[in-house]
Amino acid sequence: MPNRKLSLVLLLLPLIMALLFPGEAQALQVHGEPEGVYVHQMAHLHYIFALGYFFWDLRRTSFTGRGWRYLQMFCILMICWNAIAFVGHLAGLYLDPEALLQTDCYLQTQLLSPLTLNKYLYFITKLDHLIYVPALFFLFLGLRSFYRSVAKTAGEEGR
Amino acid sequence: MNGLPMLPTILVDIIGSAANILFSFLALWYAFRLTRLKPDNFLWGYLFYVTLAITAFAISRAVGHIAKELLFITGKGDLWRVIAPYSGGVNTLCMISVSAVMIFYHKGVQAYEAIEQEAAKLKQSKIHLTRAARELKELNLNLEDKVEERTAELSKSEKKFRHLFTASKDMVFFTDSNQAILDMNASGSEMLGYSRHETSFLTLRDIFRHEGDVAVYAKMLEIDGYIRDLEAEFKKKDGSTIYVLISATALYDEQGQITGSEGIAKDLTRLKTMMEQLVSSEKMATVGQMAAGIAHEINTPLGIILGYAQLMRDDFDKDSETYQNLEVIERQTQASRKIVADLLKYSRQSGSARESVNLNEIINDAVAITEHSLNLSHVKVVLMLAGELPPIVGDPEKLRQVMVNLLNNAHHAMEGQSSGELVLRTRHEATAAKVIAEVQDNGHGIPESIKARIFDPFFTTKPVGKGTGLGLSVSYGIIREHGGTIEIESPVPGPGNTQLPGTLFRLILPVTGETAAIRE
Repeated sequence: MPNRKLSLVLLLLPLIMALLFPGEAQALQVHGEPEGVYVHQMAHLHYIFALGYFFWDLRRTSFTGRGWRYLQMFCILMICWNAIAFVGHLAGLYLDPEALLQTDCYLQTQLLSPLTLNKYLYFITKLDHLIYVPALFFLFLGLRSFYRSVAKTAGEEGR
Repeated sequence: MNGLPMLPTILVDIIGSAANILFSFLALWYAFRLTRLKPDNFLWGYLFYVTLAITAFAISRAVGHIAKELLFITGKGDLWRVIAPYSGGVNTLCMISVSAVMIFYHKGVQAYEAIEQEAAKLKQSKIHLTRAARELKELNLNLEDKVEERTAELSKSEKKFRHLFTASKDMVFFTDSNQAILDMNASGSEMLGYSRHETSFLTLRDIFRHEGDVAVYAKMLEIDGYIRDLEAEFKKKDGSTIYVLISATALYDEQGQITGSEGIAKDLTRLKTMMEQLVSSEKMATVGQMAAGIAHEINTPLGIILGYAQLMRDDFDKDSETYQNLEVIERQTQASRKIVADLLKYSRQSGSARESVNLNEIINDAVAITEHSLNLSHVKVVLMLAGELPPIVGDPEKLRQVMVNLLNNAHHAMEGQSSGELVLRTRHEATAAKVIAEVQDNGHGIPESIKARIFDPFFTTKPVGKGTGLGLSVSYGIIREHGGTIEIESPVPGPGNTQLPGTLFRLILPVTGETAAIRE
């Protein structure tokens, strides 16, 4: 019993010391400006990995039916969207703020010439909803298909 | 200043964000309804949480984008710059959450599949249990009926086997491991001459004639577990023997130890007698053929000897010794010729008449011939002749000879007895178309050992010079010539399974269509 108490005190000692003498703690880290972007980009990569894993799992499991195929479409489109968003964020980072000119109002904003690859990428990736909306549409179709299928089966069992 | 207008991107951003909100909500709605429909299903529950996270991310993003565009359109871009980090942070958080939830799909499905398998097993078990419970219930409900039904079936079966046991004409018996008889059917008791009660105190050693046969019986059961067609001799209560064919099976307990046996014994005595008679008949036929040959060969020289003896006799004086000697030769030759004639009669070589004969008349004639000598020996003759006896076809002389032979034999058997009784019976068996004549005496009987030989030619128990041993052989030949048979019983079966001393000769002669024709 005394040994267990001693172990507990030793384990909690660093925490107690950090609370009593915070200035002495060398582990504290300052989060500078680019970190948010990096985290966001990492989150996109993480999302791509998770979707890829999910897609592979859907293919692996032998569930059949239209709903599962819609769900697989959702995964593919979302992976594409994440890739576009990842590139878009990079293009945004590398875009000179002077390249965007707002004349009278925001709606008349233009991407100034000369149009470089980065500028085109920036423009095209801004249209990411053209991928994102179909992805969510397939998600909706998938779940609706699941629901109808289950409701039909439940109805048949009920009869 | 040529540039690319950003208006399409702004419009796509606003409209797309609105569409995102719409579709993500619709998806969430169906995911929610799925969980309502199947609240216990892991998969739909999991999809609901995935959809919830996707919706949260979609809304967070769409709302942020719409807010940004509207703030910029309304010239409040500075405000957006304040909100932007929060919106971006929430978006990142939502994105990580969605990713995290999705990663768990694999393990979740594995767990789900495992649970489903267990659930399927449980469901199957439940089905089996339900079925078993239903069957048990039905069984309980019908138990009384079933018991009654089974009891009736058992009773029927028991009755069937009991009937087989009791009605069998063969002996059926059960023994324990010490060969004590536990049960025996009525036929068995009757066969052995014991009462049912007495058989329960018997062992196999009491009923087997030879001790060795009991050992053979036990040994065969021990080795093979069964006995098939064991020929043995059983000892009856009165000491007589019956021949049986035994089939038996060993009975075992749970440890495989012999606890007893069950057996069936078939009485072969009658069959054995018939077989002996058949063998005897064959033997007689062979002997008959041989005797006929010899008789024929001897008859000629005997005739010559007789002729010459008679011729020579005439040449001598009657008082001379030679004349006397020739007379002895003639007499002995005549005796020899008689023996030869008897042999020929036995072998049917001599001619015979065929006419309608009444057996009662034959018996009366024979009695008349022998009555005097019978009376001298104080033998009482009892005639029990049938009133209406159909005639048979035959030679009356020969039949009379047979009858005289039998009466003489009976007389000899009763010699020295103070109360000899000779019973003569005749009867007609219409169904078998037979006429039967029986000659029964109460003399010393015929020993079992010589019974099979009494019809053999020259076989006699009389002292030398008193009989030729051809009487019964000739009788046998005559009766066979008439298409009949001779049976002997010694001792004589009396009423109620009793045995009377003496001998009974039974002549069985056929009444044929020819008989009727001759009568007409």
